[in-house]
Amino acid sequence: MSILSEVVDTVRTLAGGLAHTIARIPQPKTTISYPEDPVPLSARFRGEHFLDTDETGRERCVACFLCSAICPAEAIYIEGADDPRAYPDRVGVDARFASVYRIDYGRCILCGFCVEACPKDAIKHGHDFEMASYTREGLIREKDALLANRDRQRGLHITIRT
Amino acid sequence: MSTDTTTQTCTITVDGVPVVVPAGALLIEALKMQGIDIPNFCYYHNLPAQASCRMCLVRIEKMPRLQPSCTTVVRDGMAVEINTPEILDMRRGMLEFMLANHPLDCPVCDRGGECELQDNAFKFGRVDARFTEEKHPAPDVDISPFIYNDAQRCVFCYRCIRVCDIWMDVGALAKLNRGAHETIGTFDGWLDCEHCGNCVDVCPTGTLLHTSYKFGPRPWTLDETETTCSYCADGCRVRLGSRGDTVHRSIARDGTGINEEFLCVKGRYGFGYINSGERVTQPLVRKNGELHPATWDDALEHVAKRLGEVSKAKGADAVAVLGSTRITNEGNFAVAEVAKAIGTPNISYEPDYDLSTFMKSVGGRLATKADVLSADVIFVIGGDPKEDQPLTAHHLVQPVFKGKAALYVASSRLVRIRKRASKFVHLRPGGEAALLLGLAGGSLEVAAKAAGCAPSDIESLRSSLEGGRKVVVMVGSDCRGAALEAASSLGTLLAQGDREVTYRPLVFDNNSIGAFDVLGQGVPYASITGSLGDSISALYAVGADLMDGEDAEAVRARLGRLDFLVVQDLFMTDAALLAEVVLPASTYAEQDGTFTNIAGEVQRVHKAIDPVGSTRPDWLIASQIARLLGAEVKYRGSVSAVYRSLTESNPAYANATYVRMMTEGAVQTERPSASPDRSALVSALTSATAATDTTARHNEVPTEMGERLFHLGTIGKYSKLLADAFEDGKAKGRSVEEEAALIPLKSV
Repeated sequence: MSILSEVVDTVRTLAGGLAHTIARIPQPKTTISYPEDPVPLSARFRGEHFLDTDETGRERCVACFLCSAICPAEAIYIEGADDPRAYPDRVGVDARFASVYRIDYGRCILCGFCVEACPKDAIKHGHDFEMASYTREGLIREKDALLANRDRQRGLHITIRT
Repeated sequence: MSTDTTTQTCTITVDGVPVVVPAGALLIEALKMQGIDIPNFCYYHNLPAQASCRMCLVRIEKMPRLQPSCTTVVRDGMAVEINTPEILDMRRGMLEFMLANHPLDCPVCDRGGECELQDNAFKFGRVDARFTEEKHPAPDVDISPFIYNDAQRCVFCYRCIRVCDIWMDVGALAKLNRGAHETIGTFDGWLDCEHCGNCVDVCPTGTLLHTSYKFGPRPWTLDETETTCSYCADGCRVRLGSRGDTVHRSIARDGTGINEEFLCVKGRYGFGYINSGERVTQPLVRKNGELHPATWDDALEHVAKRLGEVSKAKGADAVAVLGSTRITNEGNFAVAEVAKAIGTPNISYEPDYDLSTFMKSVGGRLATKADVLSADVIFVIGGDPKEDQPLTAHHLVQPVFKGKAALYVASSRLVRIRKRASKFVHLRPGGEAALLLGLAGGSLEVAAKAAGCAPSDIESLRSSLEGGRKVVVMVGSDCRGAALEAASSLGTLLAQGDREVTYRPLVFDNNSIGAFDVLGQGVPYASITGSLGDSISALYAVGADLMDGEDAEAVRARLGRLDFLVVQDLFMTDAALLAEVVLPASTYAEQDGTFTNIAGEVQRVHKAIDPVGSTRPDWLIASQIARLLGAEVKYRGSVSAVYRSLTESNPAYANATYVRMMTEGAVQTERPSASPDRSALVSALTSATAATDTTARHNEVPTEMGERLFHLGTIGKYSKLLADAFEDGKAKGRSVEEEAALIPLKSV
């Protein structure tokens, strides 16, 4: 093969590649510049959980343990307790409530079984996926954090894909 | 209603398949033996038939309607259908009715996960509910310090009522109101009962529940360990439900042990001391007059050094070692090794019963559960199993209720068990010996005068006892000396006849018999406590409540005069406060071992949780001290090796191996038989009768329920539930708030 044909061949390939690149420039972008831009997520995206409350602000969770029973990763630890006060003073919807509710995101695989199992619609998936931590302790969420997650959803740096 | 054991069989057809079942069995039980479970609520294997829940209906050929299998007796050639669309439809219908007013609050209900109604509804029920009518709400109320009642969840099987009537002979539960307003409740106010909680455990729904387990961890999250109860000498098998390092409940639901599903108030609710915050959790050594935490190595070396010093300076006899009727056999065995290492004969324990006198005349084997259940005559003298040994009381009223056995009671106290007796002989205090003399054929007039009863009483009692073929004699702690010896050889005293007589000592502490077997009664306890500070200068006390008696101040002074006191206990007892070294021991829930029960049966204790704090099992602490004292201890860190050494040194335990206990549960120890000398017994009785104080007045105060049962002992007082509910052997009253909480139930 002569040098000339080799040069022609190279230039043709280069032009072909560049043509492809230049043709894509006006088209819509599929990447996002995270973290500057909000992340578009599906409405059903399974992010960090939150514990829901009812319309009066009472915790829906009654510590029935079904979420921890179904959890394939054994990530949920609960302790139930009795709240003997009358309904207006209670923290939860029932006298039975979770005194400890702990999810270990070092174990959680975000499969959503707990949300499926919950008979009280108390645990739900939020959209937060920024759960990385330098320590194991940083991966553990206690009940207060999970309750606060509910209100944190609105402030998340995301957009919901429709 | 259990099946009669019979060799006869008959053949029935179940859904076209012929099966061979025992003749005379109930259909539901015959099918259970074949591995076929018929859903049921009101049927319970050792309660009389009720046939009210209609869940166990089956189709029997040529019968006009569906028949309840819990009351139908199998007949040869019977053809049964249990799995046809008709039956399944019936079950669906029955469950729909049961759930009509059920709140369906399974997520909140503590029975969730082990609920028979839930299981059956999942297996046989409809997936939807067709009832749109409003349910009758009923608030849950506490009906005792231990039990709360959610009336709306009830399916009216009446198991609780029957258990209270028949197992417990108390009858504190009843059904209230009628029709749709029916509830299970009490006769006004709080439950007036033994607080055994058996009604809760037989409940197939979440109607009756334990307050101790209210809203706690779910049953499937608990690690259940089968072990032996640490309260009375009956030795019930309990299942400790633990999660992590905490024991959450104590139940006997699977009914595998000698007690089946039975437990008493202490066995069921007295586990609180295990995780009590008052436990001693680390070794303490006294420095400059105050107890300071120390490491195990330092504490044990200090103990060994000081014991060695005292024994060298004042002789081995100056050191005393006390074991306990509360700790395991292995623990006592290792404690005896310490005494051996020092070379002191001063080893003892605090007995609650004169077992050496009892064993001397009994010999052979003690009366087991099977003996009690198959007896035709039961004689209780000088004790009240109703208060002290609830399981024994439960067992002995069963044949009495069925009319298979006659119960005779003789006591100087108006004991509660007398209510089920065919005859109760009320003795004057100390009149036991005179009564036994009368039974042995002595002069009725003399005996009756000293015993404080009519001659005809003794005469009729004697003829009743002599008429028995299988007699069980239960000897209580009121019998002492000659009376105890004679009562435990009653078979020799009665007229010759073809009868089998077995005996049961009504001892109290859980391992009394084990402590007697392992430690013996070489040196009497009183002679050791009496010479503390005088001839004895150092004491190693394990689980010994030295200052529980009336002479507490005198003992305190004596303990103060000791050169060296080391106390090994669960809690900071009064004696521990005076000690130079306190060694923290583990409870039965934190160690392996064995207890020997009232029938001389050895049963395993299994470790349910890791030792609390840095406590150690008694056998480990004692064997470490023995090793530091220079003894050659063969076992190292293994409780089974300690027990093997025990079986090698004690022939009664030779065949009671861990392996046998694993398969058989309770293994009875084998003791040499004794041959009591009749004439010597009679002469001892005669002199005891002559010495009886005939001016002593009869005790006319009836024993109140709970007088001993609700009494908080050395460990009971640290169990919060018991301590909150009971005071001085009485159930505490209710507060105004608690009274108010009951009002909704009354007004339903």
